[in-house]
Amino acid sequence: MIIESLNDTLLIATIAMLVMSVFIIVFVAYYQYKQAQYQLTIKTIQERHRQDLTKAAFRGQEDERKLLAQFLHDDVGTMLSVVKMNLTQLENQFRADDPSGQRVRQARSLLDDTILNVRRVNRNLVPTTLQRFGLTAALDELVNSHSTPESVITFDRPDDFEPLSATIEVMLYRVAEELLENAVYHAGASHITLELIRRNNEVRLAVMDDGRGFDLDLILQDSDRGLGLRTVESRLTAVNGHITFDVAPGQGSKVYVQIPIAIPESAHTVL
Amino acid sequence: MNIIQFAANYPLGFFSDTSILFAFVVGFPLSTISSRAVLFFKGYVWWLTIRNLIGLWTSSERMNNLFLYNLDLPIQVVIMLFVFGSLVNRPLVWQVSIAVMVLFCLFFLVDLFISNPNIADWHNHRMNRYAHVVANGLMIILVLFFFWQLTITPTVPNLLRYPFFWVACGLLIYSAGSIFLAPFYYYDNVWQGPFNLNVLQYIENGVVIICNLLFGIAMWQTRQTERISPTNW
Repeated sequence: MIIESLNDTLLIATIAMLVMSVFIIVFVAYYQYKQAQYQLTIKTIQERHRQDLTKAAFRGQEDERKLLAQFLHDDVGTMLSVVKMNLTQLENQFRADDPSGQRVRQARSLLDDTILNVRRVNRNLVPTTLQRFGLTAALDELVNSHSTPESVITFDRPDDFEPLSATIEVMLYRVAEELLENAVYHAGASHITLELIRRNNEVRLAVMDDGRGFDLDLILQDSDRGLGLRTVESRLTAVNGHITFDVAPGQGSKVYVQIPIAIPESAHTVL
Repeated sequence: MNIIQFAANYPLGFFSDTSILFAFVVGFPLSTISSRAVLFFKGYVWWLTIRNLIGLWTSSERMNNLFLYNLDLPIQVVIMLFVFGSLVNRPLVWQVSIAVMVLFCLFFLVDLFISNPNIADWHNHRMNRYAHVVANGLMIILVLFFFWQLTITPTVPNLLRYPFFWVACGLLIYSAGSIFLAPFYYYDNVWQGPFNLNVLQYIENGVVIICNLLFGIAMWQTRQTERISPTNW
């Protein structure tokens, strides 16, 4: 009786050992699967954290710009206007051939230049046209301000371009500004084309020029150069945007930017 | 000389008992103690080594070593609970581990009286008839809980290089192989009549050897790996 019972038990014990051995193998496979998922989650969290940091950095930058622009407009601009008014009054007290009067005139002329410079800096700091009239008007103004007889810039966009969210519009404006400056001042291009289109759920911006081009890998590897391009990439990361370069030394450059219009809710706090 | 004779007469039992030396020697350098769990596990291997060596010596000298046999089970369970308690290292797990330790020791005492009605003759009896089954069941639950904990936070990059994975595998195979055989093993040992179930010895010694080899791998990994735990070991 005991022997029969033992035989059954031995069978059960053997099966139990086999089951546990199979269990260990299955567990290892399952663990690898879970670990892959875990690593993916960690990576996603890190990526989100990086995006949050980027957003915070750009938000801080824009806030600083607004504060500085406000200071320039309200304080410096007002004081310069008062000084100009006083100088004009002083200038009127001298005869036209009076040497002192000429020095006052020179000072007023320098002051006029300074006031213009302050206004220009102010405009660069905060694109008021963008805030008041939208992206296409702001880009028109940007194109006009960067166009020179040596660098002709054309801006192509549909006439019925619908307004985008403030976040994306500011982002696109800053990106276009950086890319145009690169084309005009670094690439020495004579013809530059800026394109803005909207396709399905994304907005696309392209900047193409016939300048001297550049070696993208070389630029991105060099920590002293390519800061602007890296900034553009960082900005786009914050709104899940994407940038593509089609460049080569001596063959001009084509830069394409794509930004999904339905950006995450959190990104609206960027700017 | 007697021990050589004993080894020649019972080669499987001798090899089974000495196989723990593999884990003991591999894990001997004290510098590899990088956490409390490793410390407890080393203590466990040291205890098994001492127990086995004393057991071999006393058996070969035909001395009564039932005291060691009876004492062994609660010590093993308590140390393993400390190991897994340290691995998971959460207040609730520690509380449950300590409660289980106390409950198991109480059950062991009850079993001691059940297995030996004539308690005055305790040195002639194996006094853990049911405690072995309970201990094996407890170890299986403990290992499965540990595996579950591992999958909750799978921070160990390579499971095969994680020492306590091998410890858990060794315990699981040993416990699964022994849990159903323990009562028969008990009867095989205490039965005075013509009742010899040698096959039990093969299985018991087989799972012990596998378990000890896996403990050896675990000890080796404690020398290779630095603090790669899902918790705080």
